Amino acid sequence: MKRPLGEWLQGANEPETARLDAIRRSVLTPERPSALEVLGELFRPHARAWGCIVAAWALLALAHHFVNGRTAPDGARRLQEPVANLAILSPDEALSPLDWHS
Amino acid sequence: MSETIPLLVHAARHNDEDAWDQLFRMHQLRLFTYALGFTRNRAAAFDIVQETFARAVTHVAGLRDDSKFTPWLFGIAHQRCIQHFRGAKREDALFEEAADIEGEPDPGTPDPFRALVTSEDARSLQALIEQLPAPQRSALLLHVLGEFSLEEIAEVSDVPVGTVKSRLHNAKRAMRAMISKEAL
Repeated sequence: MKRPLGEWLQGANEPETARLDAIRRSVLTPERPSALEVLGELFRPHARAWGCIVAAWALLALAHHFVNGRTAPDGARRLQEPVANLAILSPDEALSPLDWHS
Repeated sequence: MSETIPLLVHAARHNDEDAWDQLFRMHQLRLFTYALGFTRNRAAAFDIVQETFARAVTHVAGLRDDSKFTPWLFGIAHQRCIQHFRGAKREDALFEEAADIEGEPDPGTPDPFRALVTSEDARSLQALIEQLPAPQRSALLLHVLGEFSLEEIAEVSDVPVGTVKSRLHNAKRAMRAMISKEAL
């Protein structure tokens, strides 16, 4: 039985039909990427740069925490000082410079 | 089948996904065989089919005559094949392989494919076609896969009809020589 030449050639590639079906479907109904994939695509191309930024922020956060942890009592004391000075003033003491000349 | 194509194309223009599916299903194996025969690269052939489908969906407005959908689709695939060669920086070398000899094919010579068609060995036939220079290979594949007229092949390949004639003539002559060499 004779078949057109084109059919013979196509016949040799018939095992690829399943993959071609998948390609056809992927073009017609492209799958929406998940949020994770979108994030991955955003960060993956410059993973090293993003890694450095994350590391720098982590270091800054650590340093901030470390420095704050030590200086917090001093800071608190400094905040309390004006309050203490106000307490020294007696109720009838002049508070306004204008009062000094009266 | 060809009668339904304009109807499907009309529906596809209105974003009918089923119409696109049917159109692509009709053409996918032929396009793949063409791309594979042209590029001789299986992975590239799959990519070309995918790109052809994607471009067809986005550029269907540029198709003037719905009945010309098949040559139009092959035209896209042909351009992708050429781009594949450009990417590989081999296009010039491949297209210089064949000197296009203008002239009419000799009507007296027997059809070189008769012996092969009866040999029932499509893979060896494909292997023989893959030995042809790219322009002849392209013309021959368009001729047998798309069953296009000379004018349509000329339009797909963007060359004059005379060039298509000579490419087909040379391709058949080369095939004949290869077949007779194999038969010895």
